[in-house]
Amino acid sequence: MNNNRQVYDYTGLVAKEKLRGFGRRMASRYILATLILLVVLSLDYAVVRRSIRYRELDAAAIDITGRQRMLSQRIALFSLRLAVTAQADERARMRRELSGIVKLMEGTHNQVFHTSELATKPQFKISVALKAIYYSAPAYLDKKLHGYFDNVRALLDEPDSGLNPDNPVLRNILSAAPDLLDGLDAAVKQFVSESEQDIQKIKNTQLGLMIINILTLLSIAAFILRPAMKRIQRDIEILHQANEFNEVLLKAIPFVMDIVDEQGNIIYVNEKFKQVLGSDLVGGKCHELYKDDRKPCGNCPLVKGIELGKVDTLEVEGVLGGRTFRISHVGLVYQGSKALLEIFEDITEKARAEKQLREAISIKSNFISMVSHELRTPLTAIKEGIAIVLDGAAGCTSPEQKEFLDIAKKNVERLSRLINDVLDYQKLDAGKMDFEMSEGDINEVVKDVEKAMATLARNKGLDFTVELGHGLPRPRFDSDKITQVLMNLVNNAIKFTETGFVKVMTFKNEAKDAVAVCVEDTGIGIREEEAGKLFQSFGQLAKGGDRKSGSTGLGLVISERIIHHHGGRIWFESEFGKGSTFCFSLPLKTPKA
Amino acid sequence: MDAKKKVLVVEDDDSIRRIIEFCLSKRNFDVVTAADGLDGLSKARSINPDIIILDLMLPKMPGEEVCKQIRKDKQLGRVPVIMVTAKGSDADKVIGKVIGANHYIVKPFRVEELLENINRLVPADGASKRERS
Repeated sequence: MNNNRQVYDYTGLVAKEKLRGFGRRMASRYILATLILLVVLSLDYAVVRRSIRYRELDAAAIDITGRQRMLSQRIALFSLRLAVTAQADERARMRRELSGIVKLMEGTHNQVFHTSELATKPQFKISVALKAIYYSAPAYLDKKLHGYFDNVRALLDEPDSGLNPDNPVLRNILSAAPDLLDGLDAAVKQFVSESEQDIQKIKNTQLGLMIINILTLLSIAAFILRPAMKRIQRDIEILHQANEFNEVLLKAIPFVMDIVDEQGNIIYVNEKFKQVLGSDLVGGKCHELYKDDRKPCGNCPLVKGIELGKVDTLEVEGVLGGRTFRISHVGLVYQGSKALLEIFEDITEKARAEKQLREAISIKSNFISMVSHELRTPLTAIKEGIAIVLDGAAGCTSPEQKEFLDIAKKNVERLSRLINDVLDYQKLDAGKMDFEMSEGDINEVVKDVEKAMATLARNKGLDFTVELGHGLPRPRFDSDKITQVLMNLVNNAIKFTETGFVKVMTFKNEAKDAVAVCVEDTGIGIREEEAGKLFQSFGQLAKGGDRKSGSTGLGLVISERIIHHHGGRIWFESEFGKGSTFCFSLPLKTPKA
Repeated sequence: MDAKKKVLVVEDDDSIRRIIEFCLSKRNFDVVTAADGLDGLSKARSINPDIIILDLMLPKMPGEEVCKQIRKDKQLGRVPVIMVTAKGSDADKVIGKVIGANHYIVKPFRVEELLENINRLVPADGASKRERS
């Protein structure tokens, strides 16, 4: 037996299919047994019927033969009386009697052996032994009987004058009478013996049939009753175990659970429910219980109707005295009708922690924003202070002094770029960035960037080229932000390219539903393992490889967010050591336009 | 008269590199600079400095790797290394056997602080090793 499964899985052990199969098997056995019983009983009935019939026929035959035996002697007696009486009326009476007796005897003999009713019955067969008595030597009973009848008729034909005790016909009759008695006696005995043999046969047959009946009944007990009982016992055991398992499981589940019907009445609660809320709530409305409310909850799945097997999960605040629960609803069939299983997970602490975290993030975000803004004031003072000294407005500076003032100036500018990046990132992150969207020509943006960046590239000895697409559609975009994105891409391209070129291209995409801008360079390219980190916040900063350019590593992240805000896409292709191409697209239909 | 002490400054930021170079030159050090880890390591091997100022975050080869290589080097094994880090939390792993720096300073730092540590690690009477060169 499959004991392991019994331990772990109670479902399916008393599965309907298995029970059905078992039922079918038992039913077919039962039908077979019933058929056997039916056949045996029918046979029994037939045998009894047949035996009764045989007994009737045998009795008739014995009766007739017995009577013949008696009549044969009466014939002898009456023949003698006829011959010896002197009275005429007595003689006439004897003649009548004899004539009647011969008719009767001949008639019954023929009834048995020749024409009439008994002889034509299919059940009645004259046995070989009887035939021998009647038709063969030494008895020749049939012949003798007929001879006897002929003699009697001859005697009856004799005139009264011829009648005397010495009449030869009478002599024949009287001499044949004892022989006939013996023959008929033998026939009676034969009939009786055969009848007894028949009875014995019938008894044997009936015994056989009874044995078959008993065997059939025993088979029913062995092959139907016993397995059925065993099966029922096993199933009861399994059901008992399964029930126990379910009970243990239901008691152990650490969540408040209930089942509500389609009207919102609570029709089942589990142990945990009783522990938390008491047990007298079955029958109440769910919304009165959870929210102490007269109306059903607005987002209750019952409102939409129960969908079997569908899981809905809601987080509901202010349940059961101000706690927060994650309520999972599952549509199921309970007691024959649709119902909703509700599982309550108390997430009050988690919800509180999340809320605190959100608040903390918000505070931090505001703090960063505030600090960054505050930094700008002293930064401006430093910047202007340095500028005043550098410009000579506060007296002459030596070349050495000028060198370090330049360094200071450059780093102050770098610092203010960093602060701007952080602020941009912060705004995008908090969704507070303002976008001024209007239809425009992307080529104009490229031209502006070219003006600003071409010198930087050429100073580094790079070839800076621009390839503008013709007749481009005009997407809606924020010109300043897209300029910022392109500046960032071009700046990166120049920064990471030592020799070769930087090329900016604009074109329509293949589907003609967007314009795209690509910046191609022949720089160091991007290693495959670094490609994934490129658009992650502070990706570059964490790597620490690029402080020379004064980048925070936020440039690509900011660019990506700006492009996404336009509903566009930003991507790159690169081969390490050979160069990179960064592209972005602006769709003609912006989602937020 | 004492020969000038040789300082190797490995720092990728132009401004910081130039400022350290300037300040140390003024204090009568012989300053050699490198802008990345690989260059720093090869210059260390070629000039055999008295002390190395090493930035932790460097292109081409990170500062900690440069430091490990220096410690493995027969000739440079005992040269003091001052590691410059941007994060205070990096400092602990820099000192000690794995990386092997002698000291660390955290940005932003004052050049005076750097000088004090150089003077502490390279006394005025010079390192014995320098007499070989």
